[in-house]
Amino acid sequence: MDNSQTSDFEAIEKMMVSSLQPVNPRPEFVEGLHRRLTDPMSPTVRFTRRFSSQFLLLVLATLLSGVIFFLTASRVIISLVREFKLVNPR
Amino acid sequence: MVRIVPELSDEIALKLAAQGDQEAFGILYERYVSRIYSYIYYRTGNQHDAEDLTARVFFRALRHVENYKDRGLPLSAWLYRIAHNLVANWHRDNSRRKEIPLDEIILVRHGGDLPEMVLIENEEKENLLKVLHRLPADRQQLILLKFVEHLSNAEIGQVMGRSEGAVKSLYHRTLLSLRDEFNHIL
Repeated sequence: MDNSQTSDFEAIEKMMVSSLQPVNPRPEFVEGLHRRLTDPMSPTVRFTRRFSSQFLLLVLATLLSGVIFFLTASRVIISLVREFKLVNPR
Repeated sequence: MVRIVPELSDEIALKLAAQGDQEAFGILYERYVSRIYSYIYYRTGNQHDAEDLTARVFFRALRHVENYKDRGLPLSAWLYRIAHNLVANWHRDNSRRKEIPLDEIILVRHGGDLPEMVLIENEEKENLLKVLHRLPADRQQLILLKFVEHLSNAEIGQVMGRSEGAVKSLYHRTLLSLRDEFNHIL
């Protein structure tokens, strides 16, 4: 090897030493994969059981609107049936 | 209960993992995940695929750990081989894509340096990575194992299934082609 080749190689090696640094994975990824590997039965996504006031309000509103819908629908059906009987009496 | 498991050697942890001890496999995982991720990251050029392939490496290792036989090949070499095969498949599947996008996180960020210096360093690094990605797969593997993972020629030989002399020879040829590529760019 001549001197110019050696110095070229040294320059390339120096560049690689400074540029090619290890890249660390995200801690969340490492933890998540660890969990998936060591406990395959555990779900990948977990939800905490917390009932906020907004969630309770939403449930109550849903129940109330359900009751109102049921009452209105049943009244409409009853009146339709009555109307049908008046139009077609047997 | 005193937890002494993390002190386990690779051989013992492997034996336990082969018998179904998930905690032992977890120890091996913790020991090698960063190195495998780093290697795959440089081969793929982006975080998303590096994470996906890293997960596949360890799931494959977990599936085959029972069949792993110590033939003088260290565990790290086995994992690097799995990683290399998966990356090769990934490149084959993505062969239409000529350019590999490089995430910003591998570019240099020095808070105290002058912006011009950082710019020059980043450009130099980008050029190096572009040139590296143009090399054949075995040469990329050699460079990354040598400079990112800091393995010796003998260890690289174990991973690549070559003799130490063959690795030295391949390294010399790789330096020659890198020099030619750089001369072509500049």
